[in-house]
Amino acid sequence: MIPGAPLVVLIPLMSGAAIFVLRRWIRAEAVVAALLCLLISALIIFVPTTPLPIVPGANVAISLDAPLEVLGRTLRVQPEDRALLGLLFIAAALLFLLSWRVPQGSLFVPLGLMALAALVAAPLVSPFLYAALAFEAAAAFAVLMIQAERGGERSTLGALRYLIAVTLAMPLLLLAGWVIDSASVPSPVDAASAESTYGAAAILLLISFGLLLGAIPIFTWIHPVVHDAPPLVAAFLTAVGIGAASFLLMKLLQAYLWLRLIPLFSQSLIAGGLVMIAFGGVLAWAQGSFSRLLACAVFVEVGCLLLNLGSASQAGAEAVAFSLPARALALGTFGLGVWRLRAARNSDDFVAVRGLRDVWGGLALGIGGLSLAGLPGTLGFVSRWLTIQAYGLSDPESLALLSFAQISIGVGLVRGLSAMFQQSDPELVGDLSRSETLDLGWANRIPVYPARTPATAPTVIGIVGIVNPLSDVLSRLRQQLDERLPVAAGAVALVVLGLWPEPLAWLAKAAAQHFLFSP
Amino acid sequence: MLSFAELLRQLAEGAVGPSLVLLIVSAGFVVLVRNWRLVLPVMVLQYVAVGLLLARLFDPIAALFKPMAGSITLIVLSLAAQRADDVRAERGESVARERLARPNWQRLPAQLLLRAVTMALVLTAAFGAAVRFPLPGGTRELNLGAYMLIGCGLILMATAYESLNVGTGILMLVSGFELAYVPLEPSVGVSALLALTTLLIGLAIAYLILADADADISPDPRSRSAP
Repeated sequence: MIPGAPLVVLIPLMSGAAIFVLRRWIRAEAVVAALLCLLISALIIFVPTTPLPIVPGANVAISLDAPLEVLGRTLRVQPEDRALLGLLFIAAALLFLLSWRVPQGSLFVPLGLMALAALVAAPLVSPFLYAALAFEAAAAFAVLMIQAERGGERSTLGALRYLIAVTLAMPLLLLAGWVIDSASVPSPVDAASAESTYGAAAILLLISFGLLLGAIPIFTWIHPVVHDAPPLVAAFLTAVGIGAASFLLMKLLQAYLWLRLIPLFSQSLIAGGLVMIAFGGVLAWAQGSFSRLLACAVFVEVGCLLLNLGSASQAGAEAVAFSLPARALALGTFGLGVWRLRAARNSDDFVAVRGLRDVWGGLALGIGGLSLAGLPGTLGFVSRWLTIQAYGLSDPESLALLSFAQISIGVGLVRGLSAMFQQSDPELVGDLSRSETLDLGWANRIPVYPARTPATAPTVIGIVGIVNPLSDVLSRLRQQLDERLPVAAGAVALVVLGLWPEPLAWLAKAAAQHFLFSP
Repeated sequence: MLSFAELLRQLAEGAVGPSLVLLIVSAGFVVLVRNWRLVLPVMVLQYVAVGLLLARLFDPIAALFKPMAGSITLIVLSLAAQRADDVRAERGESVARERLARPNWQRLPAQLLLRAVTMALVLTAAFGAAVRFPLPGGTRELNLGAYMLIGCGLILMATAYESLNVGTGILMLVSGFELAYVPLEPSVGVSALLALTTLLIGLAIAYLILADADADISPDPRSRSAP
């Protein structure tokens, strides 16, 4: 009998290592990684609980929920993990697909797979002590993804902040595990005994998950990471990384009755969520760059996540599960727009992109941003609606705060897009047309598009010799298709899934059905 | 005849005082001096001291994981720092060897004084915490060592901005936490995984050291040959 848990971890880990070694020869590494993630996701969700024979006749079978003992801890895919893991793999696959032909640093795909392996290991470990080490391993891989191939003094701020936040969370999680293991009262039945026995563990868990989710202290790592990292790497960390941490917290809430009995815990989650939403809302409209706007949108997303977790209800679990692919797709599509701006102007500041008039960039930013703002008709609206249902309609002030934050993101987006489609600044265009290539490390030195016609006529610099007109036209068409396909796919997916969210809703319901949060 | 494990245990039992002194002096030195040519060798000694303190708590062979992983990490860091200095030297910037040979006597006393005051505060806080808030399961010297390393690690993480110095702070924090946590769960598994974590953190920091110096860190030959 082969337990499934190590396969779930080892397959992406080994594939990441293989792609890292073979990336010189694998051109479509992003597509390979995405297909692999989708395959693993389908297997986790649909493979029956009974052992699945892999060699006909021989007594070799894979049992997904069979446990594996590793260094005194159990690694096991439990029934409630299946849909959650499936969603993690789907979110990663979406981001890998969006990164096809949109270079995010040569290490994004292989290290993304390795980080994903560490992140999916975190919810599988029982008891959860080793999850802290899994998050730390994922952070070490993430640092390389965030930095990509950029260099220069003070360029490492985002990567260092992320590493520091996760490193500070690790000891607190391990200590919380020890406090829980050594508790004298195994199952308290009232809030007073739960608080006296497990109060320290609850506080340690709050701080450690606050660090992992970027909520404590605000601005620790989300802002610098979104600013420094390639956009899809930032989307990966804020969707898949935060998703894995939130799933682990949801499992802890389900597993430990005392965590639900201690009012401080759920109240802190809700208060933290409201503070994050308020900060995101207050700051979003006034931002001067798309990456900062994205960071504010992430604040609001994390705030909603904390509200859902604080509600400790099945509806909240459904909202948490649904928000993961919705967040990945919205952040990924918005990130594609940011990537196009950085490739064209070496910056995503509103001032720098003035007059760029990149229709496809605008489409990615517009649809992705509106989804993050929760506009009806986009996937983000469904996610927000589920949050409102889970949190309850009885708290109008909080709902007004959420609406204000979403409007604020929308205002910030409109400001940025209007700057982008304004008349160009002749001085800036002159400066940019004089430059040859922009050194964007992670973007593998992309040829600069002339400012007036940014996406329609890419100027490939250094073409020498006679060019066959037909092949030139074909290669130009192919390049345009390559550049536009991920944007179009992301935008269409956000709208289609916003209007017809049943596939994701089915998965979210399947994930939430095990989370009854009852003793 | 003594086995190697027994020899290690006896050494650890007999060298508690010197190990603790070495730990405190090395932690202070790393906070005071920000030159990798001096700091990294001192960090090796610090890992040895941590290993000796850990050897008293559980399997001495397993306690060797820490100094071994630490030494490998420090070798990687020194290679990265050397490469970064080479790149800086090519650009005509100041490098560690020069700063060692020709210290800037105008700036150095002020910097050292500020760091020394901070260090004194951390040392006092660590003494106070070891007495007032003893860690469960740990002896007094272990508590002091753990608080000292955690305090110095936090100070470095908060005040330094170069990847190497922040990285040494992170590594000291992990060492300090290990001293605090091993008495609670003296398991070989946790120790091995923490050693692996140290290695991974070291690799990540080495990459960031190269990025700090703007050295060519692209592992992809395609991107190097781009126009």
